[in-house]
Parts: sequence; structure tokens; C-alpha cells
Amino acid sequence: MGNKNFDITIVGSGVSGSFLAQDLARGGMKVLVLEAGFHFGPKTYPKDELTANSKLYWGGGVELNTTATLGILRPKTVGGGSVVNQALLDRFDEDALSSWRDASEVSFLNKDDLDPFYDSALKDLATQKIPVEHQNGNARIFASGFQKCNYKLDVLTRAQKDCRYHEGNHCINCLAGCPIESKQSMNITTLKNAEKLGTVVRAPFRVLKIEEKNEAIEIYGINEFGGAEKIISPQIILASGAIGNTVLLLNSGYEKKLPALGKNFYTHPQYMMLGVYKEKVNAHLGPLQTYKSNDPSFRKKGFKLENVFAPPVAISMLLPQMGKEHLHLMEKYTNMACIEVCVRDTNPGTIKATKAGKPIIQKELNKTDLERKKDGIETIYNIFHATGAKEIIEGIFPIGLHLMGGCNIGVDGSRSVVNPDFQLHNSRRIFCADSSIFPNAPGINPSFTIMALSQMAATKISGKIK
Amino acid sequence: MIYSRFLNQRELCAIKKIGEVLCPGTTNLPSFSKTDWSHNADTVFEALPSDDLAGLKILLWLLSFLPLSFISVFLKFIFSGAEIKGLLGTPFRLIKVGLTGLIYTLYYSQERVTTPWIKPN
Repeated sequence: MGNKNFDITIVGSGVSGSFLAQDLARGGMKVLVLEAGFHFGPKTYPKDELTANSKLYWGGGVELNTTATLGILRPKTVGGGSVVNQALLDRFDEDALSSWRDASEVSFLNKDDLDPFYDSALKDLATQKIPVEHQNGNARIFASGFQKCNYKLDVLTRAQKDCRYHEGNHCINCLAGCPIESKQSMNITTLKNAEKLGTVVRAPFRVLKIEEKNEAIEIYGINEFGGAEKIISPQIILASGAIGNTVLLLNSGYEKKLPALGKNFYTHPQYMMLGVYKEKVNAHLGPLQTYKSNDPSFRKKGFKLENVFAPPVAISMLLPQMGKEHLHLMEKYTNMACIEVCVRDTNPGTIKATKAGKPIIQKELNKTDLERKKDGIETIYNIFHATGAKEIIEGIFPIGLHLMGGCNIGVDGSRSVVNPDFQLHNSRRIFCADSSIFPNAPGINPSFTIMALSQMAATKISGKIK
Repeated sequence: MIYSRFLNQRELCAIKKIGEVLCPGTTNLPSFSKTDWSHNADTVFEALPSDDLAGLKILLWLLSFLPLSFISVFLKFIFSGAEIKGLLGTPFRLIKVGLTGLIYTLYYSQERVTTPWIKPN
């Protein structure tokens, strides 16, 4: 299967892979998408946290950095992160883009060049500002705290159609995939569009190694039936994220050709803080997230805040206690409010891999990052104190779920992996446009910019191939 | 009799004991052993990378020889060790995340545990 039947093969079916597949298929190309995870849909998404963590993520739910101080959440399913995220859409500001230009010397990383692609992405997705009239107790505490402390906030924009909250729908459920097809996950939007245009999605198909030959790319992997399979494709786009792309290239022997491979890895480490209130908060009901901080002083200090929450297993992992003490705290689940601080990390990590393809993630916070974390946590204390929290718990298990870099874009091949044509330096057939190409941490939700970059890449790639 | 495709009886028995220490129950919440924790356990083990599963099996086998009170002491030791910064604390954190992740997943994913007080629908 696949021997030169397709014009291009995409590894990974998340936000980047799906937008690329759709746009390239619209341009008349025959596209094959290989996805390591399983195919789920609104009727088959996991119904409980155990199954969701086991079936939708690498590592059985969570992977750890080398010092086990950071949990890495890496989605593994058709649709990728768009199935399990909260579909938040944020354009990058000049601060993020100028820091990218400085690091990469890539001139098109600016508002004027990216805006048409942000706009174009919106044509394929329904979006809504989260309806404030449906905000839950957690959002009310967030807004009230911001008002009392004189901080600025904004309502989040989300890729969703209609969550019909009045019917009793709760976005906490859609952390395991949205069963009512409101969230605009790629598997029901762009990837579906691509499939209608002839794109073939094979899942689960785990790509283990690629070899670039003069006439084509040879792709080696384990197919849907558990057998080894070689696919030959004229071109390949790597869209399996910062860790997936890096590990694949490392295991394919690119470490010496690309000295920057696996470096410049960022995660936006996120620290969830819980405030326990006397009255019910019911943070698990209705829209899971409504607000984000929009305070220039926070941006300057290098952190942002959002009102979030999580299902019981995830919340339990935040608590420092064990035994009855732990259970008594968990009994207050419905009285908990939750705010997370997301740090714009400055200390780049490194991705390496075992021969078996298991990632080895070295990622620590430096003094600047720790200062940013401290500032964010102090701000959350202010909010919880101002709104009457009886108890404040600092979550003990930080997570990284904005996985960026490892294959950073840049002009200089000694300091970057991907060139401004979204092509690997010194390669004619290997492309990349997802979060792995980020030169550093923007401090803003990356999803919308991955869409924009992927659309821009589709234009460049199809132009090059033709 | 509890059955698993991945763990033997000794290892499953260790999970039950660790679960009892981490989730001993309250007036509102059942103790770990009183729940149907093993029902979906193989889904977790199936998803683990093979070397993680091998490490878990060794740890469970060793812990299976300890009485409940010793397991409690062991876990307190692990929780304290996890606070140590840097590489010295790493093995403690690995064990802590591994065991709490497993037990809390098996426990809190059950509707019987969460339905009365938190399930939205």
C-alpha cells in the first residue's frame, strides 16, 4: 500500500497535519496521513478518565521529564491535541512574533504576513466567545478576583459551534473528546474535509524511521495490523509535534546533519492552584474555561492566568496529602475553584530518544522561569484571598501541554532545523510546520498559530512541489 | 478472584494494599478495596510503555511481601523523598507519580466513587 500512489505523506493528524492535509487536498494533491493513535469520534470517545488517559495519550496518560518534576501531556489520537484541548484561539502579539524573528531571522513571522492565514483558518472552524451568561462558579470567582485586585481580563475565544449549556452539557467531558460535536476538533472538521477530497487516513500507524533517497522518502513503521510496513512517498511532512517529530528524526539518524535537532524545547509549564470555598463552586459544570488574563503587567512579567478545572484523577494528582487527609480534601471537589499560571519559559529543554523510540526529555526551570512562576502564584493567592477562599492549595504536579520546539525554524542551519520554506535544512523532501518549529515560547496558546503556519506552509509546499 | 492479563496475583495483591493506604475510605468515600478497582485495570497496563510496566511489576512484587503498616511507612518515605530537589529526589518522584497515578486512576475513574458527589451527568 502507498507505493507512490500518493503525492505526499503527512505523519500526524493533529492541528497541523489536518490543516495541511485539507489545504493540500484542496490543491489537488493525493495525501496520505499516518497517525500513531486510534480513531475515535463523538459516539466512541472514552467515557471515563481511566480510558481517556490510557487511550488518548502517549505513555499511558503522562510522560515525565528526566527529574520527574514535570508531567508532559502528549495526545495520541486521530485529531491530536484538538480532541483533548479546550480549543482556545489566540493570535500572537508583536512581543511573541518579534522574539521569534530575533531568534530565527525569518522575516515572515510578523502580523501582516500571518493575519491572512489566521483569517483563513477561521473559515474552516466555527468560533464563539465563551457565553458569559453561562459562566460557572469558577469563572465568577476569577472575574470577581480580577475586579477586586484591579487586574485586566478577557473572555476566551474557542473553536466551538454550540455547546448548548442549557441542556446540561459540560465541557469537562470534552477533555476526552466532545461528544456533542460542538468543539471543532480536527477529526470532525479539517481532516474530515480532507478525507472528502480523497485523503487517506491510516490509524494506528506508528512511523519509526524515515530514509530520504534521491527519488523518494522511505517510511518504515508498524501498521494497523501490528506488522512492519514500508511506504514510499515522494514527499513527507512531519506533523507529530515537538516530541514526535524530534524522536523520529533522531531515530532516523539526523542528529549529525542537524546540530540543533532536539534543542530549544519549551512547554509553557502550567501550575494549577486550588482555592477551597465555603459555598459550592461547581467548577466542573458548564464551560470549563471562560476567562484569561489580559493584563499588560502579567505579560511583561512572563506569565498568564486562566480559569480551568479538571476531572477527579487529575485534581487528585495535584494534592500533596495521602490517605484520609487526601480523601477529605477530594470530598471538597465541588467547593474548589481553580486558576492556573502558565509560565512563558525561557530555559530551553532538550529532547533525546532511546533506541526504542522513547523520548528522554530534559527540561528544567531557570531562575527567570522560577521568578515568573512565583509572580503568577502570588497573583493567584491575591485573587483567592480577595474572593474569600478558606484554603489555598498549590498543586504539586506541574504539566507541560504546549509542546514546542525541537525542530526550530531559522535561517542558519547550524542553529535551526527547518528553513523558512518549512523544509528541513539540506533536505528536498522533508517538511515540517507544526509546533516543533517554534523558535521559543510565545507565552500564548499556540493552537491558532499552528493553524496559520500550517496553512502558510501548505501554500509554500504545494508551490514547491508543482 | 481478580484476573489480569499483565499482572500476577501477588502483584495485584500489592495494588490492593497500596490502594488501601492511599485511599482508606471516609464516611462518604469507599475504601479502595471495597471498589471495583480491577474492572478496567488492564486498560491502564496495556497503555504503559513496556519498560515502565516491567519496572512497575518489580516494585509491586517487592511491595507484596510487606504488611499494610510497612507499606504505609514506605509510602510516607517516598512522599518525603519526592520533596528532595534535583537528581537525588528523582527516583522518589518517579515511584510517587507511578503509584499515585495508578491508584488514583483506578479509584477516581469509577462512577461508584465519584457519582454521588461530583459527576455532572
